[in-house]
Amino acid sequence: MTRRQTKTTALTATITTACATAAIAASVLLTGCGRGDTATSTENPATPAPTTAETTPVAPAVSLPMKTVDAAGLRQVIADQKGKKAVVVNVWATYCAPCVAEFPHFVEMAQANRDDVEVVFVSADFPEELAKAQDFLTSQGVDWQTYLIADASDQDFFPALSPDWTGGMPATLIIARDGQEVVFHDGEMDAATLAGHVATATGQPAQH
Amino acid sequence: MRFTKSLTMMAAALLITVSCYAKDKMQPLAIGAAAPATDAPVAPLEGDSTTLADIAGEGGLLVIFSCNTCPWVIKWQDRYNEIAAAAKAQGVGVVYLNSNEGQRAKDDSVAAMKAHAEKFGYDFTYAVDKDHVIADAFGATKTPDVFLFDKDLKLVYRGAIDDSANDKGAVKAAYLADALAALKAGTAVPVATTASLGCSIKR
Repeated sequence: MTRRQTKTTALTATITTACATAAIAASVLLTGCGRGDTATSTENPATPAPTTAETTPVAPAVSLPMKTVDAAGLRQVIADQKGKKAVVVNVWATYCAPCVAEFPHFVEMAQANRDDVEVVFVSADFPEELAKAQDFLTSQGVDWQTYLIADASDQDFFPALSPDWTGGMPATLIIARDGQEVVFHDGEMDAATLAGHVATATGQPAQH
Repeated sequence: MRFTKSLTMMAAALLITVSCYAKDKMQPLAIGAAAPATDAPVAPLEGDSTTLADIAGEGGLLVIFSCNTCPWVIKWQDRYNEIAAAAKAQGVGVVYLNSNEGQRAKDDSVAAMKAHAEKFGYDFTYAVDKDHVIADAFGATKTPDVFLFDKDLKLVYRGAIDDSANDKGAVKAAYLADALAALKAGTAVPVATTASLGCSIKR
């Protein structure tokens, strides 16, 4: 790589980081799950997936493209890990302040327990904000596959996460390696609580 | 002394554990259940404090948990007035409750609620659920979250307003309107519970 290429790459990274940082700052500044009163949109919050078994890349231009996922897709993603890893499914959105606040705990835990835990991030961001969501994922160092809810109004999706989920965010489902549910948590989760649930799910203390 | 201190710490730990467990397992009110906390204070933006018992009409009671900032509220609130009008027209008392005590000093202050209601032309009672007492009693987890009770104050519908937050012109399933129509007709609510994405109530 030439020095010019290196500088260009560095500049791109800096811009990306700056944009992502700004996005995070904006999210954190907005209290609650709110983005203020300018969030009105006439578009649908998510595009329906064409099938239940396959997921479709949504934003291939970004480094970590999310895939749309519906109820059957989510169940499959979870089932794929049975007998291999514990699973932590976290539904989040950039406009959701508690989601943004707890997100680093999940990333840190995922990175420290790659062999034992599969963290499945499922975004509920609006179509007009997918780039922001992708930037956020990049800024958080998420280098594995993440997902986007295919259809926010699909009543089947909610029980696919948990029959107890009424749709509030953040929401987290933790499943042990044997496929048994450890906990469904509605609301923000702190690092210690997450570590405790992960320890239960893996049968060993979570790495930090 | 040391024993007392240990006992206190154990009790505190137990309380925290129970509290966390309760949060993990918060269950929304079941269909058919009686309206709880009907004597808890409901503080409207203007006028004296009231209660759900006072707000309820001869046809029932509609409680919608809401707030000032949630994008899902922002998307759905272009239907708030017509929902309230339809309910009132059939004798169902209506209140939109703000239970976001965690943001009461910020975006969900009474002043912010007043400004929000005025800006968006709210034509219904928008009130403070102090210390989220009613939200807790209902097991409400998010905004917006709908609870419709019949004339006997038994829950007949819980969940979403409809299936299209972004565009009311694209609604295919008008869950709440259908529930109100069923209530008026004296028939069973066709879909009694639904789910929808929303923002967690900031307790």
